[in-house]
Amino acid sequence: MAVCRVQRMVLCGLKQDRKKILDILQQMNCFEPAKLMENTVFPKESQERTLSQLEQMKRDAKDSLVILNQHNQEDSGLKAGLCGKITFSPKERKELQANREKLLFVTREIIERQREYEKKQEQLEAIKDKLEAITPWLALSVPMREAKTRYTKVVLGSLPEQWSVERLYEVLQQEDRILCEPVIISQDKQKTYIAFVLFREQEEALKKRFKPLGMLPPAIDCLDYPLKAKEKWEKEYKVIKIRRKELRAEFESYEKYRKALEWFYDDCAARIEKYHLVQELSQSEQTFFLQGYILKNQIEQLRQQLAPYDVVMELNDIKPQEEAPVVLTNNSFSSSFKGVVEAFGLPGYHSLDPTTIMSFFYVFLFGLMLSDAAYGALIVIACGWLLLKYKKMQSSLKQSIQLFFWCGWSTLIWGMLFGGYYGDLITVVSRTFFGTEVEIPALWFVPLNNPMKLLMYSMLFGVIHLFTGLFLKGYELIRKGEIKAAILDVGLWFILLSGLLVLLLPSEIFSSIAGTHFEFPEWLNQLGLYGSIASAAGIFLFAGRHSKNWGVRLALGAYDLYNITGWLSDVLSYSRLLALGLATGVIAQVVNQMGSMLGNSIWGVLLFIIVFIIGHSLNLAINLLGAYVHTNRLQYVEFFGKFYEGGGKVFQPFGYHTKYVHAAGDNGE
Amino acid sequence: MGTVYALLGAAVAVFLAGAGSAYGVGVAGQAAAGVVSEQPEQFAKVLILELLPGTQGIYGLLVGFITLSKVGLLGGGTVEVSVTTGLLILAACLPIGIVGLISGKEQGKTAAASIGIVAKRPEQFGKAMLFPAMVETYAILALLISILSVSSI
Repeated sequence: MAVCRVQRMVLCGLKQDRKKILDILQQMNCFEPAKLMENTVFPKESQERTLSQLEQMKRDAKDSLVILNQHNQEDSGLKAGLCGKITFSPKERKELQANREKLLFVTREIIERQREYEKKQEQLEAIKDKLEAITPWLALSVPMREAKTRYTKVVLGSLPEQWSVERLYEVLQQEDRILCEPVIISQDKQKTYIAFVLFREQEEALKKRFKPLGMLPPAIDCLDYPLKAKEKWEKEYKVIKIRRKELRAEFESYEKYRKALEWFYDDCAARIEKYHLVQELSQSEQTFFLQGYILKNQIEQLRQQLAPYDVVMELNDIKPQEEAPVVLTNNSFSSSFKGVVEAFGLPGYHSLDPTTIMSFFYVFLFGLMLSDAAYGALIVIACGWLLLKYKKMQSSLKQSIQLFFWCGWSTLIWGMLFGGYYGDLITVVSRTFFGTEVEIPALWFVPLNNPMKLLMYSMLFGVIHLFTGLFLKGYELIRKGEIKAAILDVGLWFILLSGLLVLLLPSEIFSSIAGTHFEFPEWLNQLGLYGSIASAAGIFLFAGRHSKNWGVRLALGAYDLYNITGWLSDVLSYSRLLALGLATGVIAQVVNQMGSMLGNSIWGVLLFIIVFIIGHSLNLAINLLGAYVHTNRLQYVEFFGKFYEGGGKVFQPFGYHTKYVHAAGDNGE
Repeated sequence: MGTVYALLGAAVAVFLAGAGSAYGVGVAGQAAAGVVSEQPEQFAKVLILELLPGTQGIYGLLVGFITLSKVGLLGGGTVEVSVTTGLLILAACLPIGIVGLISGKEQGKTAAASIGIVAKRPEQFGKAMLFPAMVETYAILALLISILSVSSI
């Protein structure tokens, strides 16, 4: 509901208690260190060495976890997110803390094994390549290199295409005949592998003659007979493979350290955070100073915890112009929508937290856009089941599932109001398969039969939403004591817009669009007319009041009046409520229609079931996305645009920011 | 003849808007594939962004469907449609067809750019989602006029 109050805190303690005090602060997770004042008197203590050691350990822990994942195919990110973090009992924690050395050793071992594994892998690849390259030469009955007598020699080479011995002789017997006996060792579709037996001095001539024809030396070179070489390599291959298998088994045996390693990673991260803070502390010979922001509601508890130590705490309120880090508190319903506000940007420390008001509109608009009772029920059931089954899931994931849970309820209700249950499923099924037409009547009206009506209501909801935004702006200005601004910037606009609405509603144009006629008493019409003229004049004169030059001031005023078109387009923007609502229903109807094409037969039922499952899941997915995106848009652009600025700094407390393991005393929230 | 015009209108709505969406989703999909190759963990976010330009095709389908049921091609018994009515329906289908085509295409480009945001700063997803949604406003306005005209003819 609000931005939490924080206070500036300066704490001075004895150096001998430093570790214990910092541990308490880290545990309480309620203090953000910040540089509140310059200090040149006391030096800082560099912790570079410890930090780089810890960073290295953290990296090693991370690497070894990645390696374990790679070999043992551990659960995917989503499942891990659902299951949440691991919890250790205090006793287990103590044991782990005592075993840090051992864990460090384990990470090193795992990384070493991985290096060996990768090397073996490379070797296997290399041998595979060699075996492939030697296959065409297997029939060669001399060693591949150095096969020669005193006068003769064997030259090996491959030629593209398929060659016969005759064709080889033809080439050899062209002018400057080369005395040579070619032996075809093997052939495949693209290549012929040949051994030429010839006099040593004619080797160059042979190479010269066949080079233009594309002769290449063998891709592999070995001293031995090809067959023998192959045997040798195959043996090597087997040995390496066995070793690789052993390594794999070892990785599997390391699996039992997984949880401990995860703890180790988080532990390193927490210690790094602590040493970063220590590095920032101002320290004298005997004391240290700590400065930053602290949550106001935690101060008492901190005092109690720090009672045994000699410390001096100085607390100050945040000044009105000062920015401070922001953390939001909300009731359990609205806090599911915190993510939506955070995605836009947190409010400033002194501003209003829009989460609560926005959350009601969010649910309302989302349901209106999706508006199908069956889809709503599906979402509620699915999200409800996830929430019950995985109680410990990560908080950000939990937040979004809760958000959809509430939106599902709203979708269910809107669907009942508009009579949409998988579109017109019940009507189609009863007509096609049972011969009678059953219809569930809409509790309110069917949008497809009367789109104008829904359009009018969409815009009405829009006007309410936008006026709420305008009111919030006024409220905030009044809260800050800027009464004048509240009257001139908000009050005048409110009068102008309401006046215009009063003028618009009874007009011809409106009644022809809406199909209903409004009749206001004469005094109201007069009030609307003069009210809007007066407020327009007011805006013209006062909107640019910060400018001293009257010409500029009036120009700014006129420009501000031009914002009326902005309001018009903002209201029109809510027509997406109609468009998206219709889209869900119409596509669902198309799906049902397609399913019922084969009529009442076994094939008809089968087709219906298949089309039903595929079609409605697609429709649900697409429209869920649409409703989510456009609800966000209406909040961010139209609603927030009226009053909200964002730009707050996130409160980043000094604490245990763990990835895998619940910090001690943390119950998962 | 009137029915032919009306059907032509439905076809224009479906195929122009559908083509726009296909193009938009395609462009965004290429960008998304590029991001996923480097950062597979961003898959869900970029998928959402990729699908944003897909709505124009749905709007076209919507208008096409309303048109078909208007001239009675879906319910079985065809209603006699005069040439004037047919042409009116055709004209009513034009906004979503043409705006769907262009906005689908442009929204695709914006979505691709937003996918770029997610690649570099995944935490800014909320803002990244807004830019393509802005383009879609105009498709929604066109859809509105198309629906209102078709259903009031």
